[in-house]
Amino acid sequence: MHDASLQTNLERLFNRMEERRPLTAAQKGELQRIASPPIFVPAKTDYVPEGAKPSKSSLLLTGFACRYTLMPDGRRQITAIHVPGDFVDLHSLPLEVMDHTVAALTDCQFSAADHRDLLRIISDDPDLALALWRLTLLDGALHREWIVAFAMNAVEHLAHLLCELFVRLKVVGLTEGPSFEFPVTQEVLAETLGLSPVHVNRTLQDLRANQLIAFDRGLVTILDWTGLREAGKFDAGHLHLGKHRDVAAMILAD
Amino acid sequence: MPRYFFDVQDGTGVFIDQLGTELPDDTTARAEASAALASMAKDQISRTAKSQNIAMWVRHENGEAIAVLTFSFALLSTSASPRDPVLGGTYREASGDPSSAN
Repeated sequence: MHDASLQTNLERLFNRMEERRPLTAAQKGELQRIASPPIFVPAKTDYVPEGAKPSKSSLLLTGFACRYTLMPDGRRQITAIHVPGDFVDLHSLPLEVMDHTVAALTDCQFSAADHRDLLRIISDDPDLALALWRLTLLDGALHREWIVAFAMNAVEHLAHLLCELFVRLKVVGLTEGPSFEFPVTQEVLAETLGLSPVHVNRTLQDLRANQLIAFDRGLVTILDWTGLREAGKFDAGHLHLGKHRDVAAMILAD
Repeated sequence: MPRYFFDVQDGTGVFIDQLGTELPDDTTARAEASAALASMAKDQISRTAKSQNIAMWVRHENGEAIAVLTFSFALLSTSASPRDPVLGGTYREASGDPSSAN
């Protein structure tokens, strides 16, 4: 709990929670006290399986994680990609049973908050309860946007995903200029977009050929924001940025 | 796992796959090619709404040709309906007398 990296990484959560109103030092202290030391989860590993009844909720500190559902024929549909600062299964507190699996896409570090501690802080502090509730509502807003994106063609859908990831990573300070690390395979993108890996491969190369993005060993660089945003019909409204609306404005301005 | 390359020719031109996709075997490569061609055709046809042929060539990383897939789509401007004898009179109302279509 006095771990320096935990401290830094909790800042990403605070950053997200403070979108609408700042947290007090006492609220941050409370969250810090209930957050466990970092738990390492290697890439491509299930962390919270479907059907489980977790006694704690997990916050992603580093790496990329996903939520997925396994279809009866064995195909995997990824329903959310999580970036550092996301409380990945906060909903398991009121819902109890996991209806999907949380897995690490890359090497990840999680911090876990015991449900009893979470229940205590939400009953003691309605403002903190509202801030945590808001995080799960934002998850819902992302899911709605992803449903809309599923009605897009492959180029639009992939462009939309890359725009969205950039803005989300920018908010938590994980972009470098126009670039961000996103070291996942074509297969993961395919499972996210509901396409075959071969079509994803073609679509990535189309975006590259049109000089909208460049990619090299897991590093994605956005070469033409206006072009990528138009290709993905992207606007950041569903991210409900308040404090960070400048991030969206900077990116979305022509 | 071997890497397979999927080159495509469609209404927009020729796409030479430079990245490739790792897949366990030729059978999977053919199945993936079929799925990819179907979804590419869907995007392409809904976007352009015109007749076109799409072809895909599957190459193994060792240079071996694994498969060729083609997709042909025709959009015809015609006033003929399925009830029109020009199209062979293959359609009849289920309850009607077939000869009345003429």
